[in-house]
Amino acid sequence: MLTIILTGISLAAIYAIAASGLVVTYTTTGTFNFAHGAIGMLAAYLYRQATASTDFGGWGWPVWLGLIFVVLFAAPAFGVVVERGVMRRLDGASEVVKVVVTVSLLLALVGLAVWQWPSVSSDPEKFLVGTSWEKFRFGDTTVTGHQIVTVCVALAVAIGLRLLLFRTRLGVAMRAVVDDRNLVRLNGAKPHRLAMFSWALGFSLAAVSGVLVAPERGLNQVQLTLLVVNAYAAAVVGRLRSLPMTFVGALVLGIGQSLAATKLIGVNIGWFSLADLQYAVSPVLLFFAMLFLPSERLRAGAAKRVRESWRLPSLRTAAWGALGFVVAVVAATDLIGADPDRAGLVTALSFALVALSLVPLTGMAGQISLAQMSFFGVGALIMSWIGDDGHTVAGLIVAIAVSAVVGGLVALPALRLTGLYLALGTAAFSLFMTRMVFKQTRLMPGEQVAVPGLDLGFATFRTNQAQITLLAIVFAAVGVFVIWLRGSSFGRRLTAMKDSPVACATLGLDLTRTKIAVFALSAAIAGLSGALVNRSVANSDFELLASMNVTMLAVVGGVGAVSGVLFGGLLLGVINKLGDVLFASNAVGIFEFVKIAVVDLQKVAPGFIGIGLGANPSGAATDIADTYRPVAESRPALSLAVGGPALAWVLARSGTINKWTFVAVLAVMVFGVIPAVPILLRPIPGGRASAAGAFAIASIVVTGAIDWETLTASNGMRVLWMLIACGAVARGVMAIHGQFPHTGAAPQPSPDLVGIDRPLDRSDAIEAERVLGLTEGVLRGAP
Amino acid sequence: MALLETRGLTMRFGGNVAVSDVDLAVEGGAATGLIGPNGAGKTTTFNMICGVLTPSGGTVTLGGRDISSLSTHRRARLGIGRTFQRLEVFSSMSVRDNIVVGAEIRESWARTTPAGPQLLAGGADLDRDDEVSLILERLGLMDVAESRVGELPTGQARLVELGRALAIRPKVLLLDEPASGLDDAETASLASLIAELTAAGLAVLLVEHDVPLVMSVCSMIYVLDFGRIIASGTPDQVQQNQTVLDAYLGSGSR
Amino acid sequence: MTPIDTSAAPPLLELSGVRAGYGSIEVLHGVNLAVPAGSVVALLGPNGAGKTTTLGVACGLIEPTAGKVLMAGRDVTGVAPEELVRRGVVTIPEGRGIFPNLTVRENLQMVTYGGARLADVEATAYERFPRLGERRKQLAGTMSGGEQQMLAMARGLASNPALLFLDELSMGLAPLVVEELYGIVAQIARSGVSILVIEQFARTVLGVADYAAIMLNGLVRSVGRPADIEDELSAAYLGGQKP
Repeated sequence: MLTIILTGISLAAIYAIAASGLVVTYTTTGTFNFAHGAIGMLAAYLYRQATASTDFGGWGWPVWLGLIFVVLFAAPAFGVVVERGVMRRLDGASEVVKVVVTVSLLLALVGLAVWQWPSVSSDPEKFLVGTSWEKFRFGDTTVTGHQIVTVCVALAVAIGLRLLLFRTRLGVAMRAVVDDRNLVRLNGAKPHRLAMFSWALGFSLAAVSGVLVAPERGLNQVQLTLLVVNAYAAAVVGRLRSLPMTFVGALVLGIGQSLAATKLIGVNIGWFSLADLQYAVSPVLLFFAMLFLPSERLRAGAAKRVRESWRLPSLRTAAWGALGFVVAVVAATDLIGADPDRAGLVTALSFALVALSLVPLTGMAGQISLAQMSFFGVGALIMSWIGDDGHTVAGLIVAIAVSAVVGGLVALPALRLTGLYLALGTAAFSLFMTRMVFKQTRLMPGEQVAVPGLDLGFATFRTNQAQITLLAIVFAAVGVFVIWLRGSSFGRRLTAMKDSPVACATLGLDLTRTKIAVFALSAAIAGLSGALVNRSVANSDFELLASMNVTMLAVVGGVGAVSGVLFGGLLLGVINKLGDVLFASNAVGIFEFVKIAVVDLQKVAPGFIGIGLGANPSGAATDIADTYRPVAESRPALSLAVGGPALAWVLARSGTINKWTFVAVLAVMVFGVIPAVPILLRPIPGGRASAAGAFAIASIVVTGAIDWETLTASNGMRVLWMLIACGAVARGVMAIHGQFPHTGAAPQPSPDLVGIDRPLDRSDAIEAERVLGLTEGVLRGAP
Repeated sequence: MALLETRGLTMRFGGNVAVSDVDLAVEGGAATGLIGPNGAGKTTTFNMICGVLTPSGGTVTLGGRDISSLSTHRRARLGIGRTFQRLEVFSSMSVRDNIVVGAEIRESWARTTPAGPQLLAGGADLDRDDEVSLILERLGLMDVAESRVGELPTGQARLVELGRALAIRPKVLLLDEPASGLDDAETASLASLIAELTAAGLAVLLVEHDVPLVMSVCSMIYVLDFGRIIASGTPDQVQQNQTVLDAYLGSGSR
Repeated sequence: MTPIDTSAAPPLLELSGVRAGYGSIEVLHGVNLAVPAGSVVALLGPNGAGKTTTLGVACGLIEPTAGKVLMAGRDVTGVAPEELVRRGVVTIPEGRGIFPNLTVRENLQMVTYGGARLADVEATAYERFPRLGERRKQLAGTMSGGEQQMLAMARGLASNPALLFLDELSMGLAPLVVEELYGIVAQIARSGVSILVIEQFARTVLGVADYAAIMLNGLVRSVGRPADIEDELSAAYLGGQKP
């Protein structure tokens, strides 16, 4: 028993270190770093890389050098880079965007580690200190040297943080920022410097915890990341503020896990196995800690001006768009020769539908969820039970209903929570579902669930083509429904609740019911997607990381707009699945000049796309919509935009041009020519519209005349050439026309480029003088 | 007994007492003023009346019924409408939609808790579109009806809040500095609007720094300082009160 | 009305045509205001007139959308507040310029970011306000309102400012404490520091001020000697009714 508790304490020590890093960063910067676990994981890998002997592919550094390099150099340096490059730009962004950006960082880092260290066998004997695995016996109790080291490090961190925060000016200033950021500036300190230090410190602590935990649990990118994610719970016990309470939380967590790991193996309640409860201790603790959080008070004056903005399409536009979407999807897939090759698009549409579930929840009501794939899993599970005997329609209906109920239940604790805490709460739900429900052998034998295809009597959906058609129609229908909803009374209420909950309450709106309703609706859509998945799904598809991916790409695409989440969902599908199909055969050496294989890029691309969100919190869809809106508003331009691709499709379908050529022509039309069409059609003085038009048509014809199939053997090179062709055509059209009206706002000049991209002004000059020490005293009247 | 009454209303934040033992009586069909220097506790009092803050002590009664333990939305359904000193408009929506949301929310609960009559139309039960248009027109917001509220100047945004509150057809209307940001002409038309609403039976509780406005529309005025009522009475009585002048101008040099 | 005489030397602070606001809402519609070297200017006016926003622009926290902020004739528009602090511009913001969750000593430690040494800061503060010395280890937020304001004032004193901004020193304080605080303001003024002070309690500050400016609806409407301005004030606050 004592051994169990001591093991728990050493585990607690690791959580305490990780969680204190989270708390320090959160209190001083207001950003909760979801990527904290991934930093720890990456640090463990880096440390292993540095210290492993060259025989194992490492650099063979001594342990002390490896520790200094990882904990005192690499991790803090990375923290500084992240603060300067990403977080600083998020000032004033909404909580949803902040959450998504750090979640993206997590995903990018996990991808990076999977790419760099696809299979590293951990070598625990050598991992930390040669002798640390020696066991010490005290009567019946055994402890390892590693455990002793871990606990000592945690104590050192606790004392060190206490000294830093209470004995140094830097620490005092970090606490001062929590009280009043502006007053810190009025005292003459620079909050950005404090933030930078705080990120560096947080990353260092994450690195320490990662290096300490890896030897015990082995090197695995996802498991290590999630292990440190457990520390979230400890941080929430400390209400993200109090370090002592955080340590208490870590202790409860560590000992609880240690107990569950030894006492609950083989324990069942009915068929419900508690074997994996050790992995669910953290979400359960997180959940309870949240119940005791002080309820989010309805605060007057809390209404925020968010940076995001979206336009709302009319129902008619939406209906036409939906029709066009279905036709385009069906036509495009029709060109793919073999049915198995269409599998990627099935997945993509499936993700798009899950992403669509976030439009009412996040886009309209401003609530965030990191558990959408859990609802997807619930839908899939129910469909597999009920639909198994051929009752697929009933299965679909029940799946939607149950998902909605589960969604409503999740909303209950969420009622008291907003923003960050809601994200944490749904993440806890997701972890719990993964560990406790989707792992049950009774529910998912072999950790898999076989979901039958829908059988409508008059139609079944056995081929990928049929499945794509079904999903496209469902997405289009739900999309139109969501757009209708947005213009409805309920939709207005959701938007109102997002803008100002307190005002809604003073109008008599029951916020509780409204939130439950929107959560249920959102979960129902995600469950619908799960019920329609029509294949065997592994439970890993319902994991927290999968949900994070969906939420991130939906927000990146633009969660306020149906087109935005379609873009995000397709992006996810393409990156995850289509890329494999397309590039698998020639993965390595596509871009040989940079030695990066496309399949590896797939691993990190989504995360980095998400991190880029800080630049445009409304998501990519608004940018794209701004580019193509003039096309939709001009009838001739629209008919050209629809007719051109249609003609190309007919040529491809009849075999006149091959499929790669069709893709190339389509790309040149859509990206190179169509955005310019409205400008070509509208006479602008000094513009050479006819010449530019002729060039555009000529380029399309030339593109069509090239045989892209035999041009090069590498798919990657083909795609690269297509991108170059699109760029060249777009530039060419603009250059020949000569006159282009400016659209959109001019980009804000970066402060770092002053003097390069804009002339110095007086304040810059004064700043420069100050740096050079010329102005001291001048202000005080000295000559 | 007055329509809305507070008894011994008290609010403590930590060790600080923000509002202490405040007794107010707000009569139906009249405007009551609540004035006082910055930080005197006026907005805190409002927040306790409408349920946004839970008082540390004291009760709120509406029409003789103790509503102290009801949630904000329940109190709204019983007839307490309000505006905010720091704007709480639905800034991403159009002016018209702000009012429409108010009317729609009222319709959603009016089935179970009957709402009051439409005051601007003399009690007539208009359909939603007519009611929204009437409110927009009377507040002079017709020209900006389709603009996003987030793009309006403060004064007009305050009027949007007022219109939104009217759309739930309240019995008591709490106005928190409705005239700040309005020009003289707009303030005058606000005054006549308040007069019209009270004539139709509404009880108005007005917090306002524009004291002439308060003096002209209110029949009863309470003066709050350091969280306590230091004076109350008719406009004339309050104007003659030396304590009130000291609270406003300080008791320093004279 | 006696306009502020700025012919001799450039004023230490000058705002010209300053427009500023929050988001799309403009609060200041072209404010002109000057603080001559070595004088105390009181900025008075009802709530919502834009006094605090004006101060925010002057101390660098709010960047104006138009207009200029000049200090001793130099354009400092858009210079960060922390830079201004290091050049002797000290601001004591509205509602206690202190960190409630830091101890008194830690609050004073923050002052050293402006360039002073902690020992000097502590010496100045405890000498002027012995009560702060007794409470140096106490959390600032647990002290009385008056003591908190003294701590805020201690920062103003200890950082040896050339230009001092005070926002609503008197808010929520008993009249006696307010009088004591303004006694200190007068002392600071005598040492040659230029001061811009915002007040709602007009009479309290008029005794200390060399000039007073009245602000209404985002504009400075009139500037003059305190004696001339007092009558105008009751009109501004209570609407033309004199006691």
